[in-house]
Amino acid sequence: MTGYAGSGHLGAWVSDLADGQLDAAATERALAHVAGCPRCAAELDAARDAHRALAAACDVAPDPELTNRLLALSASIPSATGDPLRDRGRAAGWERPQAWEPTLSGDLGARRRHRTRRLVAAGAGGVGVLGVALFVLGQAPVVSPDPSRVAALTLLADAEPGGHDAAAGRAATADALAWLGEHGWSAPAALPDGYAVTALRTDGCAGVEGTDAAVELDLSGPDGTAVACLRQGRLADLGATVAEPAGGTGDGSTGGFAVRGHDVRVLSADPWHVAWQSGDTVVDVATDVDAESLAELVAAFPGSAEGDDAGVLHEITRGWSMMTGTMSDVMSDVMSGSMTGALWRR
Amino acid sequence: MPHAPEASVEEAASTPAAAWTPPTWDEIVREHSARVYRLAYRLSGNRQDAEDLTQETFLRVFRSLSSYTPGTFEGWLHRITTNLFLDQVRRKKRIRMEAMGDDAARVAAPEDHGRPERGFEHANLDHDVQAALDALRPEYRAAVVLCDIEGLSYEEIAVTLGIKLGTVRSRIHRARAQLRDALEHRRAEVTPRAASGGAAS
Repeated sequence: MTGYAGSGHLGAWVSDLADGQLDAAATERALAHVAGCPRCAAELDAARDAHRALAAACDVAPDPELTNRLLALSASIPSATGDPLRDRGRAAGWERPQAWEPTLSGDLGARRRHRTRRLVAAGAGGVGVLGVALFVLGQAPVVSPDPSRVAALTLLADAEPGGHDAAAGRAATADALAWLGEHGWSAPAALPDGYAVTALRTDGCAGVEGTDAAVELDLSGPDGTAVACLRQGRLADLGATVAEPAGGTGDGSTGGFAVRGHDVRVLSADPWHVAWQSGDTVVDVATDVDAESLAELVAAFPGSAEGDDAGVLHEITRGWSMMTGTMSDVMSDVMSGSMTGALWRR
Repeated sequence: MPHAPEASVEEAASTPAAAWTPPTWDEIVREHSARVYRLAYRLSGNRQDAEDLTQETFLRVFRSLSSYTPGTFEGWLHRITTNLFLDQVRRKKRIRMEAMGDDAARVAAPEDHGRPERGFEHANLDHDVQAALDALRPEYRAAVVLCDIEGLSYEEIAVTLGIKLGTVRSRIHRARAQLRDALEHRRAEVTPRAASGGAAS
């Protein structure tokens, strides 16, 4: 902090002076100026008055009922198990509190290290079984997202609301997209401006028949919330759904449009619930944003326009990642630190 | 501003690291709910919204406890509360544009401020301050409440809101200027009306 340099009127530095935020030397310079400047003296008085008025505001105590409700939260809310962004840190999560830390990484701090270790260690062992994994993944289940409006509303209601910390939001988003990439999901390279991932769950889209691998991605953007479910498989034929031009936003419960190579089926229009095939993944998105923002979101996902090669490549990547993913737990237990230490990035 | 939690941090620091155990949910709620509620109340301006915001904050804390990394709990709570508040404000913006006039009704509602245990004078003074706060832009309000009511330093506010130190300074500066104007305006309004004893209007 440079502080008040010591020439001219104080301007906004008046606040620093009134709050004692300047260091000794700067305070002295500022006070010297105030002594000879009626305008700044008046501003300083005014700042102090405003500060006093707020500081004097009487304390407000919460209703005992509220405290009871808060106490009851622990009994009524399921924990966040199944969210790979959240339950990872359990072992190392509680440590002694330290003094105020500028990073305040409440949510997503220590995870990156964890994940990197796991994946690199596993990479060494995954090679031999790659073929097996691909074979298993060849049988693509049929995925049919629930087209009811209630289903879309339920998805949205359970979405993790976005925080307001832009930096933490970006870190969470980068983490989540990287996680998806590493696990072979055809994830967006980047989200549209202003969107951030607020949660990533592996148990979020459960309950859909024939699905053995699913990921739920909660997004928060400037205009609202979106929940994307990624499921491995083939999108079911959802009745007479024909792609319409991009501008046409079907207002019925079935219809569709095309965005950047995605043949997007509309399951529900209020709120939006759409689904499309992206490589070997079925993506369905429920969201309360407007049609334009929805189209942007859809466009953020990798297109299927690259042709069949992309699909095959996807499959190989997926097989590799799934293998390394499942192997990693075993590997990290089996392989001793001295053996794999060299492989682990820190 | 009283900062009770500092005592507990010192206490924890004096015991060996291995002996430190995570607080129970009960302890967390009892130790922090009053502070969170106070902040929520000053930000949102009324009891109902403050309770909702407090509850939402604790819900978030509960869900993220497993991934909580060291740092002061107070700082974390401040950050969650203010960010949730600002987030809600942005979301509500559109709706409020369509339903203008709600604000006036809300400020005039007596039940938030007329709690019997408070002196009438004090309640009135507090009402003025809160009304002046409510009139500020939410971003300014958050900065000045964290500073003057929660007693945070500018650095802490910058971290909490994710903004630069210079932005903290200018927001507090502008917020105070507007607060002062609003409070003076109110005093000027109230005094002549009381003096003329209803002869006006």
